[in-house]
Amino acid sequence: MRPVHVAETAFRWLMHAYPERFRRSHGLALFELFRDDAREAYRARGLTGLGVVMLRALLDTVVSAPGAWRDRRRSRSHAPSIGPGRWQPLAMLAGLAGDARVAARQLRKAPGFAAVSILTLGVGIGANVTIFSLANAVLLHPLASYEPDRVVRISGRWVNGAPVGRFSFLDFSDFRRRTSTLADLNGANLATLLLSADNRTDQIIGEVVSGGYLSMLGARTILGRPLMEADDRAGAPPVAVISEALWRRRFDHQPSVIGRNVRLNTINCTIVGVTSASFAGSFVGAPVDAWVPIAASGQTLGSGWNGDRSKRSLSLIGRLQPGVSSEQARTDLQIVNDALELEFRPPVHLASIEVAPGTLAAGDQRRLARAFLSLLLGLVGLVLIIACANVGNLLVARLFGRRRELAIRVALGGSRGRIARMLVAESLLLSSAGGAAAIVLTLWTTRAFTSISPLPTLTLRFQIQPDFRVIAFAAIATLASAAVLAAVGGFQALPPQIAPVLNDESAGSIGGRSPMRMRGTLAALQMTASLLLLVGAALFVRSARHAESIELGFDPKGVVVLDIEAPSRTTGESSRRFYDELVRRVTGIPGVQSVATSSRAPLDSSTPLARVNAAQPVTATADLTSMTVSALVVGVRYFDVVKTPLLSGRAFSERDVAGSQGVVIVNDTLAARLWPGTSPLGRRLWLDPHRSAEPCVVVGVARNSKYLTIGEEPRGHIYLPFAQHPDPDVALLVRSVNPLDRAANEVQTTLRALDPDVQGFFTRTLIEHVAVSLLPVRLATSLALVVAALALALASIGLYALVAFLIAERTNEIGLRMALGATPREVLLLVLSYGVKLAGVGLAIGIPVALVASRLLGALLYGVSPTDPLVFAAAPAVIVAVALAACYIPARRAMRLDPLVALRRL
Amino acid sequence: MAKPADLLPLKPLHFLMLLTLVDGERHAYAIKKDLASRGAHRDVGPGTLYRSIAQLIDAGLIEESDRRPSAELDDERRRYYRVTAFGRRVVVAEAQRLDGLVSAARARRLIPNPGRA
Repeated sequence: MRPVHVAETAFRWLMHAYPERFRRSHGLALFELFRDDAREAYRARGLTGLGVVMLRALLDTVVSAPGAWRDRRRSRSHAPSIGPGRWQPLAMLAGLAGDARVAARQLRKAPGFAAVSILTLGVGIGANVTIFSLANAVLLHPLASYEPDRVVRISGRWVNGAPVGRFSFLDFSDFRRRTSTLADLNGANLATLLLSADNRTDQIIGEVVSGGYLSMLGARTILGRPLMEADDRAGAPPVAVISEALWRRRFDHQPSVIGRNVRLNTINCTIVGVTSASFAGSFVGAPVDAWVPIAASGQTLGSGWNGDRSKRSLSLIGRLQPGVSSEQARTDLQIVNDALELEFRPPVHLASIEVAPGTLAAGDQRRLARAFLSLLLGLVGLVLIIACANVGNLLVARLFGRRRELAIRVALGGSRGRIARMLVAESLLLSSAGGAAAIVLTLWTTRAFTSISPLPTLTLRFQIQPDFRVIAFAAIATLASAAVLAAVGGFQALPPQIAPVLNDESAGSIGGRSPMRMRGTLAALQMTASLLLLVGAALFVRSARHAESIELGFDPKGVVVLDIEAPSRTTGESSRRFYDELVRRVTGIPGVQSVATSSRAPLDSSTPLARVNAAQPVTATADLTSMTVSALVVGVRYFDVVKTPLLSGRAFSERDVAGSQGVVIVNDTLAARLWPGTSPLGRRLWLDPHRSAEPCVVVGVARNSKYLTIGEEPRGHIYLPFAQHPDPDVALLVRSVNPLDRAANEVQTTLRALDPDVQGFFTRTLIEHVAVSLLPVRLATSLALVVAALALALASIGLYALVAFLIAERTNEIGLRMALGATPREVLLLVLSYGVKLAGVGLAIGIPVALVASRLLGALLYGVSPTDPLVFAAAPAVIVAVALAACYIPARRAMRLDPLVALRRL
Repeated sequence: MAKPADLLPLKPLHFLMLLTLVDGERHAYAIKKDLASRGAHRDVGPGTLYRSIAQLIDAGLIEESDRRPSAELDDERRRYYRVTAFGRRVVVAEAQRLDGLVSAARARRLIPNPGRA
């Protein structure tokens, strides 16, 4: 019967939740009732039964114990405890209000304490609410406003497990037609659009969407109507819905904008609606200003958008049928996918379909954002701990100052419960004010995140609005801080020893007394948290430094990039002729040294991937012998433009054209992997079957460079000649000796002269382009620095206050020491050694924790080990230095103490 | 002395406990089993049950019975409870109140009349 005994002991302990009077009259019987239950359940169903009884008893106690306390109060006031009017919320509220009033009065008496506490808590809670708001906007806030749980994102995986976020228009149409579990399915893609109206042309970002997209997501229009299915039929008159921002910026808030004819790219269309400012589309950060139906604007999806299943441009968002789970939908879509794969035998198979919640971040973005934001939440969580410790310290100091008042209260018969309630009310009041300050602070800080400009020509737009989740999170953070504060305070106040306090035996040395020990612990804890944050920030700074000096493998200085989409060039041959002519004309601009097209500018996370095989043709399905590499289709002069040196062989030449022998240039890493120890020149390399069925011949080896991200390990890469793999969408790279803005303008002029319907987007220097890759690390670094600085400042203020208070309390002792011959130097050392001791304890806990925790940062660091010795030497040194500085100012005051004055107070 | 009407309406749990005790004296465990067998309150937690007992005693509706088993029978230290005369009046008043409500529902033909059903 041992488990039963354990349960009985636990229940006996649990019974302390009831008032004493209740326990005295019913405790034994209550216990026996539980025991009967427990034994019977154990006999009948063993441990499970016992567990159930335990759990029930626990819940029951939580529910009934507060009631028993209420009964007791009421029976004192001789009100009947049953019958109508038993529950008196008004009276309870009045009691709470009374407590709050008393607490407010206490705080008004100490405005400095209140202000510092509220501000500290405001900063601590505010930092958390800010980061949570970001996480909420990206990861939690649903895209749809109506029945958001039913809206899901659909993605897939290749046979090799790599994620696929996009689907071709044909796949999308087939999915929509064949699914039985989705009530609605819509596709969307971003597009750069040229808006011409009133003799002015602007470049805007729009979403090309299927007809039901806006209404499925519940996008509200403040003017006109959303897009409808009828707008997305072949032959329907072209229409567009614009954003509130564009309406304000471009059409001056005029209601007459509805029905206006504007030109979007090459299409004349009618504006039929304006969405409310709260709707921002379904792409993270994209400043979407227009929505156009696929039927009319399909060519912005790229050439072959409606005839080629390998042109995957649409992200898919669906609405589940009522009562259908996302797993059921997944199975259904998987079946459709498998059928499509069998019917159409695409060159690369989509192996599996995934159905995820309909939030802003999708697929891989979601995983990355989750890792990054939870890390940030951890960091700001530490700041809140430091803030709570600070205010807790202040609270204890104040309680110590009020110990006489508290002792008198107890001596006069004030119950300890009553005092505890007062403390709780004070803590709640402080943290509620802090929470309110935090929300104000958050409204301000999140604004900093709503517009980030990674490029001069591009400002991202984020919708960060506090919704119920943010409010709930703020409330929880506030309550948690209140609980910590109340616990810290209550711990100190509840056992007030009346006699010594009233006899004023409190003047002696206090280092070993519990309030000081408590405060010391809190200060050491702050040092620990500060160390963790400092280590994180230092690692980020080192990593950012490292990232800036990483060898890119190309020379970004003096190069201008612009993205060009030529959707009217539908065939490879017309694309090739168009870009040949463009490159020829741009080369003729004075000052231009070299010009080349490339599928992407170098170092771009969207650089396409390809599979290669040195021994046999690449198969459509997954095979173990093929390698996945990044691939760029580049113009003849590419290597001159980006100055990536060729280690052997030759660059592409004008003789490498369609119809001649297919050629490829590999990088150093790929050459070493495929043909170790021998020359790769002249070797054969097979590509993905949809690129070329015949093997290519390796004609050159290029030095390694960075292709997708700045922190990547050396990876295999191939270059293919544009003439053999033409594409209407390219990045044009221009190396010029002219100032870059002038060079960019000249290129734009040349382009317009060649074909007014083709536009260059996102004109930028290659240095700016590379900076986009550095944006995450820069953002992380500045955030980590701000957070660490905040933490260190809070911790040093806390330590300063602690030491100052300590010295004030020990004035007598110090005076006595000095009168007995201690030198000011010795006094200084006494105080400083206290600070060092606290810092030492903090570090002793912090360093091992930091060594483990910093590994979590590993994925975000470039070229810096998470256990970098320099960081782990410098961060503790900074902590000790800050601790010494925080102790030094009050210590100097102690040194200048006049022993006579100090002793007179004895 | 309070009038029975002052205590109405009773909580369903209180009413059922009183009904159980009208049948005769019971100890808490028996009350619990009784309630469970009626199916109305499938499982009352020990704390809730004793809080209710305390409330009913405070209000004078039940009292501890004098009939206590001898102390030697260690495991039979249970306390027995019985309905007071006042408690009996309250439970009757509550039953009449409920009956009134049910009749009103019947008059509107919301539930069948047992006489004619």
